Amino acid sequence: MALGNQGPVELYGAEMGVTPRWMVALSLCIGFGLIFFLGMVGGVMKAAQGDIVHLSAATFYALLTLHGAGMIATVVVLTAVAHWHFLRRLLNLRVEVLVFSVLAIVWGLLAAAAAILVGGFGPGWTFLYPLPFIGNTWPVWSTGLFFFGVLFVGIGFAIFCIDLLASIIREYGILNGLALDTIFPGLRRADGKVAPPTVIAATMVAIDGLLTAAAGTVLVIALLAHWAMPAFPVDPLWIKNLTYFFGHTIANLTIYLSAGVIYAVLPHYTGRPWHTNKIYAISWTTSLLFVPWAWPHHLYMDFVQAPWLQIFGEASTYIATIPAAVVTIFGALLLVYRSDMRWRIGSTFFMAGLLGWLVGGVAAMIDATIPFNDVLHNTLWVPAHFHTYLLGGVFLFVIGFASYFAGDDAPTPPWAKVFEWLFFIGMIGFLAMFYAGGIEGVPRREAVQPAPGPLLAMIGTVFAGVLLVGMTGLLIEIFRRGRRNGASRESDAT
Amino acid sequence: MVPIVGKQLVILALWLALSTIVVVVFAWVVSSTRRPAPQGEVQPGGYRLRRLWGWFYGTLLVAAFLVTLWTVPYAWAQGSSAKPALVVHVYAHQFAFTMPQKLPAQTPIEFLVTSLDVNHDMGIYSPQGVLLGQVQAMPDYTNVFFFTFPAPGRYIIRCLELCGAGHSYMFQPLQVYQPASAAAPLARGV
Amino acid sequence: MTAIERRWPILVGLAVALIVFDPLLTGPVSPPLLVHHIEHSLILLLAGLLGIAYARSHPRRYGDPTALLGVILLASLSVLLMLPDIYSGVDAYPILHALLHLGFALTGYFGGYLAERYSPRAGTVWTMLVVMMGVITASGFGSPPPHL
Ligand code: HEM
Ligand SMILES: [Cu+2]
Ligand SMILES: [Cu+2]
Repeated sequence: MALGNQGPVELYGAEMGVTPRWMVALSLCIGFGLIFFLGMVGGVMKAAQGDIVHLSAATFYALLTLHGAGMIATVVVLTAVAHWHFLRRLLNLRVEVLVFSVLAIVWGLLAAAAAILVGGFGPGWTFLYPLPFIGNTWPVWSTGLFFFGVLFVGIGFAIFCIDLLASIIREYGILNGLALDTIFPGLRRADGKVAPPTVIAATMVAIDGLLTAAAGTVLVIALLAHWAMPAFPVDPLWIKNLTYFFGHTIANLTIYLSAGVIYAVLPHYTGRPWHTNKIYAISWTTSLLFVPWAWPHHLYMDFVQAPWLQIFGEASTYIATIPAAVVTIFGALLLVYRSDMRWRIGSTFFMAGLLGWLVGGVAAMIDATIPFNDVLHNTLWVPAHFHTYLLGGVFLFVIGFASYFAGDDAPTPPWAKVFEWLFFIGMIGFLAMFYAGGIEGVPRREAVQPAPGPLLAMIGTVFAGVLLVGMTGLLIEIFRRGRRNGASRESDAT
Repeated sequence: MVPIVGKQLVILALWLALSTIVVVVFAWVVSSTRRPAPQGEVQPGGYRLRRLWGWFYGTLLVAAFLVTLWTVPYAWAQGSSAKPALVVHVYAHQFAFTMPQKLPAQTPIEFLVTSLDVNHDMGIYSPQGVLLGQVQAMPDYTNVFFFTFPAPGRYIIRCLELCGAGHSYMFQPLQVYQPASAAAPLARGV
Repeated sequence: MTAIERRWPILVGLAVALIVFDPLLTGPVSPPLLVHHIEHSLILLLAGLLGIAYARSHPRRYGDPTALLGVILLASLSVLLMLPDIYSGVDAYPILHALLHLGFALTGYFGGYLAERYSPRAGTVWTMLVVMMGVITASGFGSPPPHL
């Protein structure tokens, strides 16, 4: 499909007076600010579970909802912005669209936060029907406001994906965006240009992201319809499937957005290029097809679920790990192996993040195995594994990106190394307590846990404190560098 | 502390072993950057290794998948082998389970689990506190769940799905007794 | 442009008209919800293609932010129109039912048009999005649990 009679495509320029660099920097600052605040909320929850502070059950569940929903929305913004930074030039993306989508997501987050903090809305970030509507402790308006907030988060993400996919179609076409031209010679372009790995990742994220946004919109509109007209029927099993389709996939996509960043950043630190080949085309097409089918692993313990979905969900979850384990992570290790790697804050965090992704992934796969799931489902094993690859993976990639973005050429000063160590020690200890709780059968999402939960939570709180201190120091160092280098980089700002 | 036995032991061992391998590999790759070599020199070997690793990993997954197919806890997979001697209805609601307070050990039981309000989850904890199995309780649907209590004792039924402000307090004891004769036929439909 | 490239909008337009006025022909029947949702998604798809074709025939400047706003509102509207309460209300009256179908057609048409005006190819993507939403609604939007 050629662009027909449109002639050369004329796009709006930086008319809003927002330079891309400034927008990325601003988003990073907002995102890190939110992570810091929500991390403190997480620490307070741990302290409450460890009997160090006292919270009423309703307050605890409200904070849990705030932390979960807020963190997911924040890492969506952070990873999307980081990936966008590299895609902008490759795909001629417009900064205005990014402004719109970040605004929509942050706006949605604020609405949700108001519902939670003022109204006390607290059914957990997966807001499983029918708890938002019956048998709860919060006012009706807060339920509606929360769902409007989620709608805005979904809209912001949809705008991001629509623009991304439209740009990919414009510059490469969907098939070549997945680099399928490396497999089918018939697709090859005259100029021989092949999509770089970071664009391949973007193609997968844009399509699956659109699917997720579509599901999220239907989900939220169904819930809002039920909110406005309680007679509007909702099938609890259907809505649970849809909820996890949306929730699982959007959280999962932050990892794929991160992969796009890794493809772009690691060559910078290793001095080795990262090329596209057939394997990338195959593996990203696999991810594209199977990631949207992994959600049923959240419903293994719903025994009425159709058997084929249970089995297919397990198979898809397994298959979706192959591209990550065999191509992206292995490829990253191969790129680093015996390279002249410059060890900086950025490269250190990227390597650590890959490790967290893999270790958390192993724990996730164990949990996604049906005969193990019946002793792990809804225990602390679940936050254990997803904190390993969100906090110990995605978040590390984002810190690594921020440090790359702020200028990472000078070696890490000793005092910053101290904060690095504090961060990692705190994180490992904090995660270990989650795993221990999971193995001991302590349930997740409990204001008051059975033994040995409180003991583990008490130790976990100390580690969380260490983690937050390390994180604060590192973010200050990165921010300092960014301000120092910002002026000298203004030249490449447009 | 709750003893780490059964499935939990397998899980912990599996995860620790695999994670240790991962950490060792990463440490090895990181330390290799002290003796750099041109990319062209390490890449061919790397690609061969990737091919091997791909096949190995793929085979592992297929094997794991096939094994799990035979061990899923669903009625359609267990129905024929574990003929239930007893059918028990469980109605979960905020914040308790309406169900018998005494049940026999070593008797295959078919639990029909549903909820009268929001989503709950019926988790079965052994007298030592080990989580042995669970099933979600969803309004409008009935989950069929087979379970055999291994030994008599005071079990705990605990809710494992966030179900409102009282969620942490939604647990109750279940007395499991030694049936007079394990073979004695029990009335269906308690 | 080949003859087919020039003529397909006419064929698509005819197809849309056929589905839109289908209730007038078949009378007051209500198909199963699943089929009905799919039927409405089909209208969105075809009308969206028409909107895109029209937008492409008028080269303009891209990036109008109001187009973006319209695009989002129309996407949400497409799901709101799928509320089964609306269906059950109108199914008995073929004329109202055809009007509802016309609503879907207009939503799809303007959505595709505005999105394509906003950015080249965005019309295609927008149409993909609403069709995905339509298919997802078909999986159970507004259906009570089976035994109720
Ligand atoms: C910064 C340090 C962090 C601390 C101290 C922390 C702490 C916690 C705690 C105590 C819980 C409740 C676990 C339970 O009992 O169920 C939790 C849940 C959760 N956390 Fe974190 N967390 C941190 C970082 C993160 C990050 C970076 C993310 C994601 C990017 C994240 C995402 C979540 C989610 C999605 C939940 C589940 C909420 C729910 O169950 O509804 N957390 N966290
Ligand atoms: Cu409960
Ligand atoms: Cu109709």
